[in-house]
Amino acid sequence: MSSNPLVQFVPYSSAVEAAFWHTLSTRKIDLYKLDDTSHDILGYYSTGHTITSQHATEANISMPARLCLGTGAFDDVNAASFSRLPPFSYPSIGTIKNTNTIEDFKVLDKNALFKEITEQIWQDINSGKAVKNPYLLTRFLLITFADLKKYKYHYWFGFPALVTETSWNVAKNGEIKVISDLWESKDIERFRENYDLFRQKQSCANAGFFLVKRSNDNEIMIGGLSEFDTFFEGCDSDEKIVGFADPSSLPTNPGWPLRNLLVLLQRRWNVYKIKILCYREIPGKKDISQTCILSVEIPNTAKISDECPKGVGWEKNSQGKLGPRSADLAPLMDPTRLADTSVDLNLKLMRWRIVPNLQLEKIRETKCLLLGAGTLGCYVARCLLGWGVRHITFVDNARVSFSNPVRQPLFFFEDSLEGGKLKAQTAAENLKKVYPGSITEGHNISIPMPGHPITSESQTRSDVEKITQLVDSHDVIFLLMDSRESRWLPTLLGASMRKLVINTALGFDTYVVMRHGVKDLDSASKLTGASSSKMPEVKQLGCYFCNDIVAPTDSLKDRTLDQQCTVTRPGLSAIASAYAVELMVSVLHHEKGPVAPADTINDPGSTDISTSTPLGIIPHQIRGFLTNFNNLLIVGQAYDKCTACSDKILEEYKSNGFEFLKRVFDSPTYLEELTGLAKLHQESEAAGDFVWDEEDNEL
Amino acid sequence: MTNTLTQTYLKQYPFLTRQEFEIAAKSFLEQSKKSVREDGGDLWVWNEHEKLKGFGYLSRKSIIQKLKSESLNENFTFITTDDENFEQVEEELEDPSTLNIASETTEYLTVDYHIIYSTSYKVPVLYFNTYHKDGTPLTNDEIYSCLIEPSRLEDIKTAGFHGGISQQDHPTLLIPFYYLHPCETATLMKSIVDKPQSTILNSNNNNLLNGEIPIEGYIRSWLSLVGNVVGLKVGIGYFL
Ligand SMILES: [Zn+2]
Repeated sequence: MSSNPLVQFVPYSSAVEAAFWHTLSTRKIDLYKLDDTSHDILGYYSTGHTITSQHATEANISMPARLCLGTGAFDDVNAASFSRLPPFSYPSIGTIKNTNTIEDFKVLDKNALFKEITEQIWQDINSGKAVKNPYLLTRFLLITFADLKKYKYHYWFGFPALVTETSWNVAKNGEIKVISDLWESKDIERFRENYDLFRQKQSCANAGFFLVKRSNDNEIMIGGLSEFDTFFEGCDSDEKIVGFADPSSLPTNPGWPLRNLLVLLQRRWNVYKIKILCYREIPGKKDISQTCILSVEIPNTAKISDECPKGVGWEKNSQGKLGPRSADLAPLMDPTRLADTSVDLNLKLMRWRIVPNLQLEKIRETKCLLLGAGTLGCYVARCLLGWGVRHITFVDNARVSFSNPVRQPLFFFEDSLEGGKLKAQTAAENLKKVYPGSITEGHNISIPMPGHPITSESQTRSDVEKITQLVDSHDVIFLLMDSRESRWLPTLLGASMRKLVINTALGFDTYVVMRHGVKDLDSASKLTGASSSKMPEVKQLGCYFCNDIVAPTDSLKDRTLDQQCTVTRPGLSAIASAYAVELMVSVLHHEKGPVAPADTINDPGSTDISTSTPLGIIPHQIRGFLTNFNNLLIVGQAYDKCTACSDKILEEYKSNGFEFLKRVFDSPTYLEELTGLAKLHQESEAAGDFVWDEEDNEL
Repeated sequence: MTNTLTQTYLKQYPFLTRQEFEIAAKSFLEQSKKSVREDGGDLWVWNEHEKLKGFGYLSRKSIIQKLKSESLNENFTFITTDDENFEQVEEELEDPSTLNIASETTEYLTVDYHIIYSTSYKVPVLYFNTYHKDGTPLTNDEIYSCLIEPSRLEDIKTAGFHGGISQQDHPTLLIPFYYLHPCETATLMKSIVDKPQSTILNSNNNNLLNGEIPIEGYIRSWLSLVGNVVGLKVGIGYFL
């Protein structure tokens, strides 16, 4: 046998555009339905080339030999659809077989389908069809299964190449070389121009295969494959050049379309030795310098038998094995995923434009527990969604009433019919309607309260357990109930588990939004507190209950908060809820989180623009007054006699657990005894200023 | 079509009518054909709307290799997965005439760029989609990290663009596409004629006699501004 090396061809690498999968899905649903017969599709390929990197550190970029399927793949195969292919590309006709089920896809007789295409190519060679329309040499097979529920596409390409008994070798002294090694540059330029003219005449369809020779006056001439006999008349065998648009970019190997072209040449014109031009251009740059020329030969000049040769060319998968691939298009097709993308982009825009240090991922992962699914709960939830928060859990024990939907943006009229649906669950369901990506649930639990004696110990025990577990499994606890007493237990739990607790309460035209203090364990002995020198330094920040005592505003006025919550100016709740969420987001941006000291801002004209978070300052309490449309930032320190967050209470809870809670529920005065507040009251306060409200507010 | 020697001025610069957009787009294509340009201007094509006349758009494809940056390498994974348990095919794994290509080590991305007229903003809008070889799209993070070259972020900002990337259905193809917010386009186009010495403009854009860019140079000038944002820029080596 010959000592010359075999010609080794670069196989295709399939490239499917997202639009192709879209079109396949639409056609499957509207057109094919359960019909799984094969259809023609139109693919394309371009010539391969390598881009020399401009940076020394980067490797050169070699284009893979891609066979592409795009938007127009399902158009009828004709001149018009060819003309819609991307510029500088060549058509390739494929057959798609889309199965109805994954099982069908698995057991499909792939060999038979592959053989069919192989035989079609063989027939086209024999009938002369492939001489007239040489693009038929690049027929391919695509088998698919489209899982339209999961937007997942299983697929496998086959690019049949006919394998004749004897393989083609590189001819002696015919090693592949770039064109500039063999041709003068003016000839290369003439060739490029003439090929461009030829391509325009062929309107690309058959420009992928062509003939090249030098005329007597040394002009480079291009001809179509069908002119083979006349074009090469009088040429020495050395002067005949057959060219093809070569998808390979490797300087050492020609691409796949040459295989069937050589079979055609051998079968039709008994070609056993030929010079091949591998046409490679950089699209749009009029640069064909990577075009290669090689000579190939078949040592054995016997004719190919009439029987169809066998074909090879199944595409390997990404692991280099023979097998199908699958593509997950859910991000582009699943509406839920699309909503995700859009919400995310919207937030990224904020990061890009305004706050480069915005910690979107942190916000997104924050789990929020909303205690109360009324006006405040609904607004807080919607506002959290706006920030990309996904984990939102509601706790409430009320039902939706007729008056609710107009003020509570997660409820609708229907929800208030037939006694009303449970608020917590309904809020969660409707939140999912607003944003299906939300991870949300509602719990129908009544929060045990001091001064509300237990009627069923087992029920209360279970409620406490559930709430404890919910507080534990969330990062931020929002207190959005409409009664003061119900805030006590979660305040205690939040303080004992060191969670960020955001508390919002409403009066008629006043509100308070605050975060509860968390003791700084790192610097327990050091003073922590207001970072502004204008404010006195305070230790740990207070909770709702400490502040009630020490707050600098009128304590009588404070008492209207909560107790009249159903009589509030309708806009108040949206305002306060928005502040609550924004306060949470700002705190998340502080390196110390819930432990962060409080900022105040006293001088708006101050030139000092440094703030403790990229979003600005983080106050302790915001008190708003709608009568004057103003806000007051207040810092209140933790009170060592606080009934909810003081060490005494926390220790008592730690050592006695439910027994302690039970005693408090039965008799709140126990708290006052424990902390020493009772004594304080007797000494300095008018009776009734700090007592638990006995009336049962609607909850 | 339009003779590139004549210069037509827009009725309401920097705004375009749909008709003016089509003229501008086709002039852009014609100029591209005449000169070999680094950005492969020849790769743009005009697509007519299937049914509506005058609702066409420009499009082109780019193949990019994922940017080589340490920060990108780690979070970049191949999305293509392979199926298990399929019916075997009879094929000799080793056909001696088939070149054995080493398994896929380099990731190439296809970027579809479309220039579409916005009726509401009366300016061109750049739409784009980026996907892997199997058609699976890039995530938002990958878009920001692969398509937008980090070292150019500052340039992009000083060019007046603030990174407004959103997603919506392509008006003609009706599939989701990313696009650059056109809200600043008019201001941007106005600003470049207000300061003709601006470095954003290159020597080809010298049609500023009237204090504005003629219709024939509109797309080119516009593209030199907004194209930067998503890698569609002039003379960058990794673009094919
Ligand atoms: Zn307290």
